[in-house]
Amino acid sequence: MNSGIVFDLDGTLITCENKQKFVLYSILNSYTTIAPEVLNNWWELKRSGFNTEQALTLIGISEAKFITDKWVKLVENFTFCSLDIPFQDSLSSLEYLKTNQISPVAILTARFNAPQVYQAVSRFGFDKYIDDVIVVKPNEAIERKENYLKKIKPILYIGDSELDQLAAQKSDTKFVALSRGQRSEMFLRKNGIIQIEKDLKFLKNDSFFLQLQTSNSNFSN
Amino acid sequence: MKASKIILLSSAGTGTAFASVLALRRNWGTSVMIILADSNPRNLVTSSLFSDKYFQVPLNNDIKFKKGLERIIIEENVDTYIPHIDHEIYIGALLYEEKNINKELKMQVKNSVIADICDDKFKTFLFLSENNILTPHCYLPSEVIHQNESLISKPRKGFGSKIVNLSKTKNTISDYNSDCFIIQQECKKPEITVDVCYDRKRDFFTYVCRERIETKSGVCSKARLFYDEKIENIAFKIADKLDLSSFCFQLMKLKEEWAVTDINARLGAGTAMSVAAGNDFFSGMYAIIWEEDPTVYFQPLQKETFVTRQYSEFIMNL
Repeated sequence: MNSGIVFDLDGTLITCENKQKFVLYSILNSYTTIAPEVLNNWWELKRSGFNTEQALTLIGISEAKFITDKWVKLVENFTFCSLDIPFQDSLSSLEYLKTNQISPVAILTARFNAPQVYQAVSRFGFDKYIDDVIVVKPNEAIERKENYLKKIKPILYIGDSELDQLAAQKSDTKFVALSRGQRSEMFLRKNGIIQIEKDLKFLKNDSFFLQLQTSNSNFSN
Repeated sequence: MKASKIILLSSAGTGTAFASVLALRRNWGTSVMIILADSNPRNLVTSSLFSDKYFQVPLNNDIKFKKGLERIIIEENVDTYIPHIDHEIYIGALLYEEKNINKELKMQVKNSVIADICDDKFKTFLFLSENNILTPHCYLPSEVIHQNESLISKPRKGFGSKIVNLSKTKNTISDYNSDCFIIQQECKKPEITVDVCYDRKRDFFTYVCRERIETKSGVCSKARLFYDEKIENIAFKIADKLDLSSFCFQLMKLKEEWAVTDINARLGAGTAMSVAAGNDFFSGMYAIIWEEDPTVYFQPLQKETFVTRQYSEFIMNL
């Protein structure tokens, strides 16, 4: 029987916007002058499905490939990762699951720098309520996430991107997408995801678990 | 999008300012405009990578510094000014007391008397003594000193401890000028720095003690973080008496009791170690200044916590 809930980390339990924006800002500031509004336009393009390089090209930044390579190298730097903070409801939601004896509760995330994730989980106080933290390499994220989900068979995987959705689909795990992270609601909807939430309030809905345990049909895989 | 706040940070090249800028970007993102000022050129100041505007200004002991600061505050419509060196806090308070500066300007320390108490170590000693807070006895080199215990000398002003043990040097007290140096009873280790956040309006007080296990260039590089009730009482008393909201101070042992050796009317470069352990004193400081809720930035330590730090490298001219 399936049990427990698995969360993605970036864009699901913690923010990812400021880190990504200010990695770019620091790169651009080191050789040119740009208006901070550019960051917002770039971020909205990324949320609507474009990758870092495509979004840079679309906002008219020259040398998009060069900047993207620098950006990828810096985005997991400890300094920039310190710009991530928990969403307001993250800690209370994890506490709620623990109090209601939902087990296991795990974090499954894709990062190159695993110690960085363990530090964040501890710094934000998530470790009090989490049973497991699994970090997979971003370049093999879908397959590794799929394998982990198949292994522990959670009742639900909560993430913020189409890649999370794909891992859930391949492992036959129910999936809920949050639109507060890497991808916008419109983009997630276009990718065929049925249950899209703005935040984690739905977890505290009394009927939610009953619905989750009795019916598979209301959730998109 | 127009920035909701325009913030000027001076002494932007310090580690404290870097941590301060990160806190702003972490919690206020692009909604705030960050202007930096430092005596170094932009390409030698790491925090400039995260800032919207940069000014190179004279050193703060140069008479042109104050005028330059005033011009930036007025011309850039700055609504919040945060200096990160004690003497600049004093200059900032003096500026605020003059008529040219908008009285709506948000600052941590607007009273030059308080800023001076924290800037001048002899005045710090007088303040602590008057308020019955244990502190090592301080003399001016011009005084006649009757003291059998070990003595040290240190600059009256400035940061990054430049301490000389008088028993281990050929210097005599008469070599020191009273305008620039104090002579102080030597204290014993451990040396503790305490980060403090006090929001009087919300009746919120929190602190973290940092034992300086290792320091490099006067800044803590390995620390043990913990709570201690006796230290908490001292921290609250200083916050209350000096009307400080976000600051740090140092303690050492004097005859087995905690004695305050220094007060900074600002957070320190080592405060980022408390931030790493879930206590974001920098964001708490901005929240108090802007009348927001500071409590959301603090996760009480669950246990004694050890924090180490390593340098990060940034290419400043790609």
